[in-house]
Amino acid sequence: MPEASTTGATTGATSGAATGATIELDHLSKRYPGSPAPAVDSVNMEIKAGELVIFVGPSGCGKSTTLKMINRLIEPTGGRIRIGGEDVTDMDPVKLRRKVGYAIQSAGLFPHMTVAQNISLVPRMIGWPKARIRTRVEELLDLVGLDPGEFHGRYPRQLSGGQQQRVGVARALAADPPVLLMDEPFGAVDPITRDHLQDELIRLQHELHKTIVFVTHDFDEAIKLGDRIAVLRERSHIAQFDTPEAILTNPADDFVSGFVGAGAALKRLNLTRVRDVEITDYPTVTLDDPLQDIFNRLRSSGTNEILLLDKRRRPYKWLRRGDLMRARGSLARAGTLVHDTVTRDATLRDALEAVLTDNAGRVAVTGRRGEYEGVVDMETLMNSVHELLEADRLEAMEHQHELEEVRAAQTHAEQEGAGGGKTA
Amino acid sequence: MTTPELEEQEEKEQEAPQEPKEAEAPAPPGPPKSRVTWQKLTFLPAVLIAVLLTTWLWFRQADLDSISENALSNGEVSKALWQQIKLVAISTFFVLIIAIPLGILLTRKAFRKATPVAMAFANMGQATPAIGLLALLVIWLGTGTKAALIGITVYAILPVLSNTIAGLKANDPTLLEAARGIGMSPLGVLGKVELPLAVPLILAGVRTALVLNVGTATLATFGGGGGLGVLIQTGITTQRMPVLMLGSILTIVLALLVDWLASLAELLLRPRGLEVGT
Repeated sequence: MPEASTTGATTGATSGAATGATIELDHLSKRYPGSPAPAVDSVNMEIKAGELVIFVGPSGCGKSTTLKMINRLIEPTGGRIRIGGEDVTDMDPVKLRRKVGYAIQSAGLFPHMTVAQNISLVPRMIGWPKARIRTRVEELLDLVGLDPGEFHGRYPRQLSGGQQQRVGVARALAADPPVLLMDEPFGAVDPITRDHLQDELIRLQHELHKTIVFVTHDFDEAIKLGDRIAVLRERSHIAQFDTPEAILTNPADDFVSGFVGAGAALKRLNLTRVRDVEITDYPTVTLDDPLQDIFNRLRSSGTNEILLLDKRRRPYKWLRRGDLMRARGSLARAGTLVHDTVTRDATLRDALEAVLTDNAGRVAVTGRRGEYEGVVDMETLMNSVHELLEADRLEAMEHQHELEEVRAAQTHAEQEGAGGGKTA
Repeated sequence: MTTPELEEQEEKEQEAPQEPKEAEAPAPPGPPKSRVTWQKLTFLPAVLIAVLLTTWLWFRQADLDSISENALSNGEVSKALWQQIKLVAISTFFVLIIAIPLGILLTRKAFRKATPVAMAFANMGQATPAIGLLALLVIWLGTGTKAALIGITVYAILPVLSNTIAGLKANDPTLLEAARGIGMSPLGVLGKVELPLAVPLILAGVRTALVLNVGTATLATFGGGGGLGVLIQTGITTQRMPVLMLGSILTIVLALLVDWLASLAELLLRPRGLEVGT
């Protein structure tokens, strides 16, 4: 087929650039004996190295089956799988799976092994020396935000759902696989923990640049995490495979727009992070500053409010003019406590939420350790959103044309695939 | 299908007698608490020693006639006891090496269809009255220890087999898929995940089998297999109460002792991590 040669060329070009590896699915199909229609029907997909791709679709659409065919937990009945350009369709599945990280819903940790034992399973199987395994476990626990000293020897049932999920991710990453498959990994945790875990995954991916295939039925999760999203309909037919922005602004058909649901403009806010927009600097003082300095800063700053930071430079209190006078110069009693902050990785939607609930319409932005970095307020947010939507609109116009071409190519490939499937 | 089975397993875990509770979840692990409390270690042996002591004292003052003397002297008692223990140990050994591998085999995909057949046979083994089974075996193999051993073994296979199958089937399929998904070989999944998780149920079956075996081994005497049944039988046929009493008491003490040892083994061999948390 003509496609094969072109995909081969792109693989060679990209695999060196990132730590991930490309994944190519070539007319991948699964037909269960005894059922007339295939569960997965001729999926063609090309996933770039270091890309986080989300499979999203209604339940029963075959997204999980497609994922499990990549590490051949489910053996495909037709088509090829190539990882990093290497055809793995006929390789020993046990060897394949040791090179592909796998994380599932509710973690799938083995309850009779400690956290460290769970994480070290794959490195032990591929024969790493003990010392290297030990340092790797510590490193991974640290990476997923768990204190190695504390969690090392614990058993999974001693952990909360979110902590278990973190260990599950650590286990999937243990042998440093280029490819990570995640099957609704955050499906079983509460919304708040899920949000945290999603943020952590984004941070991890920023550091690691793995190729991640992530299955979910939650479109908001897909938008939040995905570099590209594949919206699947029944039998894993790809309804649209594009960036979240494009899917939101330009759903390919009624099925996709139905799946996107209402409030696409609001969802758009999920796609941009605070670090991508302009944050304003605010006059700040710290707890250690002498009172007189604080007075001076209050008077000299253009705003009628300054932010008081604690000893570790974390936002502590908002001080207005006059607050100190009313509290008779006592910093402990003056001002209003900072009750909400957003991190640089938070989405604009989170920021908007925080700004809307804040009675003065501004919220402090913090770095990784909670230290102050700046402030967003209603005005900066409005400006950013306005710019974003404008940019989207321009891009959409351009995209419209491109999309038509892609769709034409897709239907063409599908027809060809159906023909190829019969002969194979 | 899976959740009721899981609950069943959890219930079983909770049923385990006098299981010492570990510290609740958030506590840092620290030095692992001993699972065997001193009450557990001392209570039953103390009772058993008391029973044996009473029996001994009673025998000291009881005046025995020559028939009783004959039945109990010349190391007859210790010989019978030793035979009994040997019968139990050997039959249990065979039960284990037959029932556990068979249970593992019957839960593999290729042999799963044979499970009902095997279970039917195991059920038959247990449903047949032990004494009838023994009689048939004696007719077939002649009298002696061999017939007795086979009888006892067949009789005790069912609890171990059914518990092994139940234990392996109760394992969460998503967990097994995770094990395969991270690259464990089928043998690795069995040895590192399936069996360790099934250990509590398998051990419960072994414990049942052990206690059963102590009981059935007293019937070995009818096939010429010896054991404590000899004392009981002699006591009945010669109508000598002390002999009958001694045989019965020793059997009961042995059964309780074996059960106690098995319960200790259950506690010690149960994989760590299964009892903690919710």
